[in-house]
Amino acid sequence: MRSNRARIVGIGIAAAIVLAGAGCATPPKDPAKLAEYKKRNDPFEKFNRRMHRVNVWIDHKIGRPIARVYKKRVPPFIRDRIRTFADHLGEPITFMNDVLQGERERAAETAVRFFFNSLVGVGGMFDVAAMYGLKRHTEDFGQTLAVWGIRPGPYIVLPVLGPSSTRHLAGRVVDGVADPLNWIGKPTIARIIFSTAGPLGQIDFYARNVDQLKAIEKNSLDYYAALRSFYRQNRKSAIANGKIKTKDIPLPGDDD
Amino acid sequence: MISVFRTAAATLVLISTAGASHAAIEDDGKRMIQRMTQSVDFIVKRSKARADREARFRKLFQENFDVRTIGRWVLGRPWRTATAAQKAAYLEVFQTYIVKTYTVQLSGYGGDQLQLVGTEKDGRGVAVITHIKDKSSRNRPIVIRWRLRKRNSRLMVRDVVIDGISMSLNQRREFAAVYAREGNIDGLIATIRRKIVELDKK
Repeated sequence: MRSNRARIVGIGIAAAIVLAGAGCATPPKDPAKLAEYKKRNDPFEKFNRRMHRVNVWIDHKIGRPIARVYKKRVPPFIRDRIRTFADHLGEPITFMNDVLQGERERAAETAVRFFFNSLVGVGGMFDVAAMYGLKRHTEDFGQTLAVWGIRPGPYIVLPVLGPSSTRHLAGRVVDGVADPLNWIGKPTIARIIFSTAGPLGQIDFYARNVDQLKAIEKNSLDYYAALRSFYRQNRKSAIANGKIKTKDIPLPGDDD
Repeated sequence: MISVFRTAAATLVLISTAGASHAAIEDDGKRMIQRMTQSVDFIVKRSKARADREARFRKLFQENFDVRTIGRWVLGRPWRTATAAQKAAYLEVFQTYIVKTYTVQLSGYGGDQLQLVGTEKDGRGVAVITHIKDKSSRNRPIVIRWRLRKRNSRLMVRDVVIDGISMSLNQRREFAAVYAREGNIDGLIATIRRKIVELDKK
């Protein structure tokens, strides 16, 4: 099932790249504009903006109504269990990437969390480990690639999933195929439905973030550019495990 | 309320005993952020009408944020070639726009929500670090860094960095995209004006 999904994602990527190629812009000649173009790192912008419009439509017409019903009908206690369980099923992927990034302490933390919550947390429905100070973190293969020194590549807007990059997208595929949970046994229906990437996990994640997304859309002058910037900064921060040095972030008035 | 006085007193003592100039700037920064979040808290609790709330936020913003420096930087390269009239018009709409967007953001960061955890050296200024605790206490707190620099010997906010995401940098990127689309500063100003009208309607 997992590998099937990976195959579908693979076909999607191929299609996206072909389509993107069709919408690919030619770099400008003027040096100032060329510098701006390179900084934007979005050669598929034309295609991406089209995809973004589709996503906004899906967001308004399908995502928001589902989120509304979900929040209205499903009691908070159940929603928390869904969230915790979906997060729990994602821990092995985090563990794998902690190891690949050479983060021993974080890997140990994730492993302990997983076993502890599986046993004491009723199969991962309660995050007991967090109560003991072992707070959750996530890692994905896209971040691992970044730690290994691979550049993000151009910005890509994926159908439904939204902002991404070629590196992030490759990482998603690898995580989907290499999920350590697959080593243990065949994926069960429950696992597919509840996993972070599964429908319920996704609905829960979306429902928790829909208001923030709405605020960005409402306040931005260019929603597409705003999301692109948010996404990139957020990714950078995630890759640095939230430890970006403040002085490495450009500050108004300190240059130019 | 007593705790507020106690903190204020403690900060005063700290400031008077601070020897090195950097320790002084750190305490200055902490005090400023504390004062600001208390004001935010007050506004959110006491001022319910949107126009009134916005007016209060505008004042708070003007007092604590280095609007001119932020606005100039957010605009980037086009600032250099803009006429004096364009610069003035731009700064005017920028301030209105930014107050409106920050009003929503800051409203969520009232007093007890925001926990002052420390400061960090930040070039010629200081960054004051605050946390917002996750309600379920499952996740790590959201870290907000207030990056402060002196302007006319007073510390002012130059940027707010939320979990590694710089609000000023976001705006700079977004404005660059709008500028590229519009092709000139007047187009950008018009776009901001339209947004302000749109935000007022809702």
